[in-house]
Amino acid sequence: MENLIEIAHLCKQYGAFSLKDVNLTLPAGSIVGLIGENGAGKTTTLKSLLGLIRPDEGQINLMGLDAQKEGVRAHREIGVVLDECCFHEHLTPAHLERILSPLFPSWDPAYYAALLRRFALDPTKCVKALSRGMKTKLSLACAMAHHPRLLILDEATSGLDPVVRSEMLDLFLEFIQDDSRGILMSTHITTDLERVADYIVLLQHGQVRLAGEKDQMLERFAVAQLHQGEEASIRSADRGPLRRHGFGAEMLVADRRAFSRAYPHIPLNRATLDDIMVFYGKGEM
Amino acid sequence: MKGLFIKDLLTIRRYGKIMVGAVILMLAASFFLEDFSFVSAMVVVFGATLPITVFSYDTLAHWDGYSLTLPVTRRQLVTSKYLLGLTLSAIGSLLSALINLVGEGMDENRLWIVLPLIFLAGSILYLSILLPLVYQFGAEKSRLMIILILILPFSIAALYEKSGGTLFSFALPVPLIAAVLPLALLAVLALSWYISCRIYEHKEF
Amino acid sequence: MDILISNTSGKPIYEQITAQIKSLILQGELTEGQSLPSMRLLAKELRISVITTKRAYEDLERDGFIVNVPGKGCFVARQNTELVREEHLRLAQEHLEAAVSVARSGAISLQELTELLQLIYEDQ
Repeated sequence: MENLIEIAHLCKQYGAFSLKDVNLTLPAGSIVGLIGENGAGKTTTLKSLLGLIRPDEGQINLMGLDAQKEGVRAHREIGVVLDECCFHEHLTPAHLERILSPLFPSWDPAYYAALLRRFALDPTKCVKALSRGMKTKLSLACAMAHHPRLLILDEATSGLDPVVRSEMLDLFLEFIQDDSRGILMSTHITTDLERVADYIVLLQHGQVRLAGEKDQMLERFAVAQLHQGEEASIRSADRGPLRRHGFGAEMLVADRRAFSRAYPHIPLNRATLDDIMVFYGKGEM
Repeated sequence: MKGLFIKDLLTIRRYGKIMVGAVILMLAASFFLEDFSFVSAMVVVFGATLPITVFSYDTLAHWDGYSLTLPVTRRQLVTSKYLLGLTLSAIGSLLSALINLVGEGMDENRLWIVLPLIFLAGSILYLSILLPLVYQFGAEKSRLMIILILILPFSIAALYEKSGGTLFSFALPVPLIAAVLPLALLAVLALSWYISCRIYEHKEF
Repeated sequence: MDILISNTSGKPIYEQITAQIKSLILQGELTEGQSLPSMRLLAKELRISVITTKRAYEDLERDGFIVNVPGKGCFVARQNTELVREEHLRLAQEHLEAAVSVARSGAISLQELTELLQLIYEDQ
């Protein structure tokens, strides 16, 4: 199956910040989670993907099409949800259908209506009257009504309560039942990704720090529990980012099996995606 | 592009009510003052400034970034605004002519048509200058520029009217101007559109 | 078919799935030729990654428990009795290892443990 997204050597200077040599692939049928601190470059990467920003260097392909040259064709098959509601306050879901459906040949009015019902959205109610969660659901309905192949979500679920997030997750999983489709989600909510993501890309300071299958990442990484000063007894090749606390230290270990063979007496805890992110972000090297 | 047009019309419907209200008030005032020139001018002005209002609401709603994720080219987005501006200016001029007709009746110099046409020309010129500015600097910063630019053509038109159409008649070969002006305006508009497209195509969100 | 996933067991999720399906097959709850849910459906219902369920199914196929018919799905394979026996042995060994570990930490001797085993075996 083809790759729905192929980003190769993306570079962009954006004021004081720059993206350097970002590579990202999204195989059909998969969910890719893009994580990183605020300012790491997630939104810049997505904006480059969508054509809101022009890259300085690099090649971006969407479903095999050059994102710059055939943007319109590519965008017909993409659904986008950004972190803020992008609709004018006075518009209603019914208005939005009139605005968006001429732009998408594959717009499905019956599916849109079904999504509105599922989300309990009144087609005649203004955006102004909607809560944050409802606005996000509306954005998602508009993004999915034309049966896109690719969903791109930029912090779409941040700021939502767990119940709504869970509903969104169900919808994403249903979406991906068709293995010609894919989802790219950039989010802070790593717990959602720990469950359903197939691949993870960690961005830090504009570069890809880590990329791979989520399962493998969570299996390979571990957090070693060390006594104070014990890190000195660990070979430098086996060391990782370190975080000290009042009663000892923790170290992120990249190869759990090798480490526990070499240092069988040191306890190892499961590493979560948050751990990995925080250790890479704040740990001493 | 039809979708974009609908969006702009819906925005105008919502926020244009204030303008409609203002126009009605002015019409009422005009009855008493027996001078319809002001209101007929303002109608055209409103027509021409509505696209700018639409711009600022677009920016406020974060729509402009989102619209680039839709299957439209930046060129189409620019074109839809120009079409909107032209349409509204034309409607404004029509209304203006109607007001003149109803309020003051026909006159010898056919001012009731000529003035709206002058206003229309003014609007087109005004849009041609302002739209690229809005694309470059945004709607808010361009507002100041609106006022400055508006003063010139409307002062000329007002003078022309006050003089009963005789102000420039000795100096200007009106038929020649009437023939050349539309073409010149078209050229200016086309140039403006081209510049706006270039600006917008290089803009980053 | 029910699959239960534990977050705290320390065992990777794909291993848990593999183990549960294996025991369902061994216990006869999943019969030969019966079709298994698609990897995607299982992933969706359990809210996990498709790569995880794919890996579980691949391991089951490698161990001979299921067959993947391209275009049709995965089905319970004909049970090779030797394989079944091997699997049962493996499970018994796991349980015994656990018992030994408990015995050691409780200072129970090998003899005591063997006697206990004999009692239980003959009783059941």
